[in-house]
Amino acid sequence: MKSIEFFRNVSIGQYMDTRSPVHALTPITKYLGLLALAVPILASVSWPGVALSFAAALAVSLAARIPVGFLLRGVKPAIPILVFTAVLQVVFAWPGDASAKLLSAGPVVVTAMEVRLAAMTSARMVALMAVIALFTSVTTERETAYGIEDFFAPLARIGFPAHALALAVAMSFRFVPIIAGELEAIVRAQASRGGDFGASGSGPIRKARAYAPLFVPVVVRALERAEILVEAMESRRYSGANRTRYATFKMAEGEILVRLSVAALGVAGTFVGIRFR
Amino acid sequence: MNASASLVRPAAACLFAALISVGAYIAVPLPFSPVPIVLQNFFIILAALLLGPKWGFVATLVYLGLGAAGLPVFAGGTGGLARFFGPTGGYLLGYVPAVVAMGFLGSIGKPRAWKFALAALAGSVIVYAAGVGRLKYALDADWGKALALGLLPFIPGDLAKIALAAVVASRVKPRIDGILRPDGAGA
Repeated sequence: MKSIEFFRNVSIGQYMDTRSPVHALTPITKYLGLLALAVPILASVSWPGVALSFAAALAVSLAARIPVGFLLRGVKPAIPILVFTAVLQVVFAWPGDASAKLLSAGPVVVTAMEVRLAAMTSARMVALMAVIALFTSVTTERETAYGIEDFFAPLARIGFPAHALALAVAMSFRFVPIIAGELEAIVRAQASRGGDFGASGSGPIRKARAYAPLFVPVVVRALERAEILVEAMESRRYSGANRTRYATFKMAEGEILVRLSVAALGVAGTFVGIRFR
Repeated sequence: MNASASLVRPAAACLFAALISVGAYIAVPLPFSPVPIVLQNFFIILAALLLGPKWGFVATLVYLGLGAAGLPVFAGGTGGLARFFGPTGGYLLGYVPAVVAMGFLGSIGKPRAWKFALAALAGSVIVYAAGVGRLKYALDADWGKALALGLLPFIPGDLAKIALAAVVASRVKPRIDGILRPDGAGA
C-alpha cells in the first residue's frame, strides 16, 4: 500500500477542547484575532513584525491551554515546500545585492542577504502556520462556518452572499475527511482483489489508465453524495438565508474590550512590521 | 424523489471543492520522475470537465476560499492568504481562468476522452503561463531559469494527470447525467 500515500498527520480542523476563556469567545472575535495575528506576518518583511505575532500567538496559546508543540505539528508536512522556497531564494541572485559573499560554488553564489531572506521567508511561513493552527484548535467547525456568515453580515445587506459562502465552506470542509476515507477504502478494496497501482506499466498514458478504476468510483460517489445531501436538505425544508440556528453565540461580558484590544494589536503589529525593517 | 436541480449543482460544486482539497493530500510517486505528483490539479481539471465552466469555476473558488480562510488545503498541507502572494501564487490564481477555459472547451460536442485531454492541455498552458510568469517576476530570474524550475519538472506528471482526467471524465460523464441534468443554458 505504499504506492499511495495519505497525509494523515495534518492539523486539518484539529479542534482541541480545553474549555479555556479563549474557546468561549464568539467566532467574530476569533476571526478578528486570526486577522490581527496574520496580517502583520503577511504585510511585513521584518523581524520585529514576525516576532510580535509569534509572541502574541504564544500568549494566546498559553491562555487557551494549547501546547505549543501541537501548533507546530502542521509544520512537518510543509517542510518540503519550506526547503524549496529557501533554496530558490539562495540560488538566484537578487538585483543590487551588495552583501558579503559567504560561499561560491560554480555559478551559485550564496550571499548574506540571500540567507537572511531565506530565513525570513521560512520564519514567516512557520509563524503563519502556527497562527492558523491556533485558530483551528480553538474554533469548532460550526463556529468557523457561522463565523464567516457573521463576519460578512454587514456586507450581506448590499447583496453579498454571506450565507451561501458560509454554507459552501461548511459543506466542503465537512466532506474532506469523508472523501479521504472513501478513497482509502476503495484503494484497499481494489488492492485486496489484486488491483495494482503504480507497480507495472510504462508511459504516462498507460499508468493513467491503471488509476482510472480508482478515481471513477470516487468521483461518481462524490456526486451521488451531493444529490443525497440536497434531498436531505429539501426534505427538511431548507430555504436559504432566513433559517434559524441551532447554536447561537452570545458575547461574554467585556468581550467588546477583547475585540478592541485585538484590533489594536493587529494595527500595532502591522505598523511595527512596516516601520521597523 | 428527485432533488431539485437548483441545489444539486451548488452541492456538487462543494463536493468537488472537497475532492480538490483531498487531492492536495495525496501524493502518487512516479517511477520516471523524482517529483511525486499531487492530485489537486487533477481534480480541478475533472471539476471543469464534469461540471462545466460555471460550476467548475465555483468549485475552484470555494476551494481557493477554503485555503485563503486558512484551512490547510493547499499542497503539502498548508493554507493561508500568504500563498497567493508567494512565489508559487501564480499557479493558484491561474486555476481560475484555466477552469473556465477547460469547462467551455470540454463542453463542446460529445464527451470524448481525446477532446477532454485537449481541453485539459489548454487549461494547463494557462496555469503554467500564470505560474511561471509569477515565479520569474518573484525571483527576478530569466525565462530559462523560471521554466527549468517552474515547468519542466512537472511535465511528465501533468501529462499523466491530463490523460487520467480525460479517461475518468469520459467514463463518469455518461453516469452523472442523471444527477446533473442540463438546465437549458450550456452544459
